[in-house]
Amino acid sequence: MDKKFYQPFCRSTKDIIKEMAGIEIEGMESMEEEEGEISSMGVSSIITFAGTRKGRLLVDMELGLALYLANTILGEAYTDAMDRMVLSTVSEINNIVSGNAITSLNNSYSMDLRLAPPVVFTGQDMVISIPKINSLSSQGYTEYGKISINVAWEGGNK
Amino acid sequence: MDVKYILPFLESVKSVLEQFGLSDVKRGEISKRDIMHVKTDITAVIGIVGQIRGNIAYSMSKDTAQKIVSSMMMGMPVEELDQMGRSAIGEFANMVTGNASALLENSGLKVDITPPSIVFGQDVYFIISSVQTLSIDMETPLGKIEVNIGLEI
Repeated sequence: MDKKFYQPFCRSTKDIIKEMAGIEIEGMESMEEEEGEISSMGVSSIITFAGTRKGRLLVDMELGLALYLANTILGEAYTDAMDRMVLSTVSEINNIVSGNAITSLNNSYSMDLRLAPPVVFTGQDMVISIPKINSLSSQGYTEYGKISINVAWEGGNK
Repeated sequence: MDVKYILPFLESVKSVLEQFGLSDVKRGEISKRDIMHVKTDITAVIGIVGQIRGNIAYSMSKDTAQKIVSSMMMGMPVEELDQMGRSAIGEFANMVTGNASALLENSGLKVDITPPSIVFGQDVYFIISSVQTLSIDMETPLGKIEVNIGLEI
């Protein structure tokens, strides 16, 4: 599948995080083919969407970054990843990032995509696997921790 | 959450397992959750869009997952969940949710399902819905499958 269906997610992630928390993501310029499974860095969120095609965005970040985002956006001092507000912040960021990217894809290519609600999770040594779908990943860095996104489209390798 | 949205998912777990020759699937405990704390090894999550939106997460132990995969492959022994096994678990979630979406459509709700994602790891905290999540244990001959339903309705 054409890069143009992946790129809006990188742009959207950088823009939204900058807008909401005032931090710049370094990197996240290009996307690499992902082989097999993805090991979570700490806090992960998945949003799936369906329309003329089906796909998924995974946003994965280190705990430090998740806490910084929750603390900055909500103005409270959270220290625990299992805190509902920390998880909700990450899922809401994913919701806005995906919504933004999907709107631009729908407007440009009439894909009629609709988002399912975000799923967010945290735990030790998590591995995420998305069967039968090829995906592209992009890494970014902030002063509070790493972030990576992974975009998959069904039939994306055709 | 209206029971008419819940039953199709439970019915589908039952009827999909029946297709693999497994009867005697019973509904166990039901609980309401805010944050889902999964203590088993594997969770397959699948999204729903259309007239209702939400996520359904199926959690099970590695042992149960292997047995499901084995019964999907006509009883072929499954020692390890390799890529093929993982893909089969995704397919299981797809079949159950796809079946449920057909049942929902029969009652006049048009929905579409999204690709499944599978999360491995013990002791994982999930939020699959900002509204509420109902967690229903399905007791099967292969072990327990926890069906977590988070619909935004």
